[in-house]
Amino acid sequence: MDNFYAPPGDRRDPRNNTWAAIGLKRSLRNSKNRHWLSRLIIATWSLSLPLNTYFGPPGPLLFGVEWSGPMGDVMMALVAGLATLALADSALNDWYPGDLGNTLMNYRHLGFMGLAVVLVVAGGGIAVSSQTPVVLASFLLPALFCVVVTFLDLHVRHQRRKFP
Amino acid sequence: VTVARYLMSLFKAMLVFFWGATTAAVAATVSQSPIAIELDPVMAGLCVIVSSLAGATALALRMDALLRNAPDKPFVRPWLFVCAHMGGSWTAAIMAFILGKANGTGVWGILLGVLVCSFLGARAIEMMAEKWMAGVKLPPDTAKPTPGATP
Repeated sequence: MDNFYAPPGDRRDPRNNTWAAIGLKRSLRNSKNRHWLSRLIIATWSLSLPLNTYFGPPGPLLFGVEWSGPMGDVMMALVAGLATLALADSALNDWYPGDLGNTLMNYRHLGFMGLAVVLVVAGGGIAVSSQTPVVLASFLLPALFCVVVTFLDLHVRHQRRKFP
Repeated sequence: VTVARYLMSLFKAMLVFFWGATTAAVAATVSQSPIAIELDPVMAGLCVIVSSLAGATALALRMDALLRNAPDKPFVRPWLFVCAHMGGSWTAAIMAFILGKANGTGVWGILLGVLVCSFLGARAIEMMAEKWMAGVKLPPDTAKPTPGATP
């Protein structure tokens, strides 16, 4: 950014243009924002799961949650909470052009691995206790995606600390 | 003194691996008791996945702490960390699974018990290895003279 010569107030200067700043932040391939799209996808998908289950048309997942008792509701609430945290992390650290601290980013691995664990426990518990194994498929692959995202982010984040 | 240190480190390593022996003892005790454990393949597969995820969580926490404290140093012997965490989590998960099935615990109880026990097992192995085995250093190589040193 220091080598970017533009007249003061120029719209192309990322310091004067929020969208240019977002684009610059996202375009840094080796920055801490790498794999931002995968984090955004898994966070929005995980948040959409309980929302679609409870507020959408009734499907096999809603029947599974109802049959599995109150623990199914607790697990879906946990999925919603962790997905909201992941979405907040994506918004604050990947999209917001300013700097609001790195607290969420420093515990990102814990959040995404927790999301993977909760997804597997929720899907498995609902599938076994309600005898609807069809719902298990929609939990396992996103959990695997969460694990891949976690370790990729762990690698890139500390690579940036090593070679800033 | 070096031999004594190595014997002590071997003894501590045996203590670490007693974690697996405890699980084997639990399995043997339950198998000789009149309790009949039916092995549901779906539950067993789920417990394997959950315990692997718990071990991977402990591994991610450890890697983050290591790389955060020493960002300029490489992450040496990662296979050792992976084996320790995964071994600790799987053995603890097997023990929790056997105990849960023997007590007739429900689906949620077994899954949450396996999750908590496997995470704690991985952390316990990590703490034991860090406390007892990280201080063991290799003896200096006396066969080769140090370059530049006066004899």
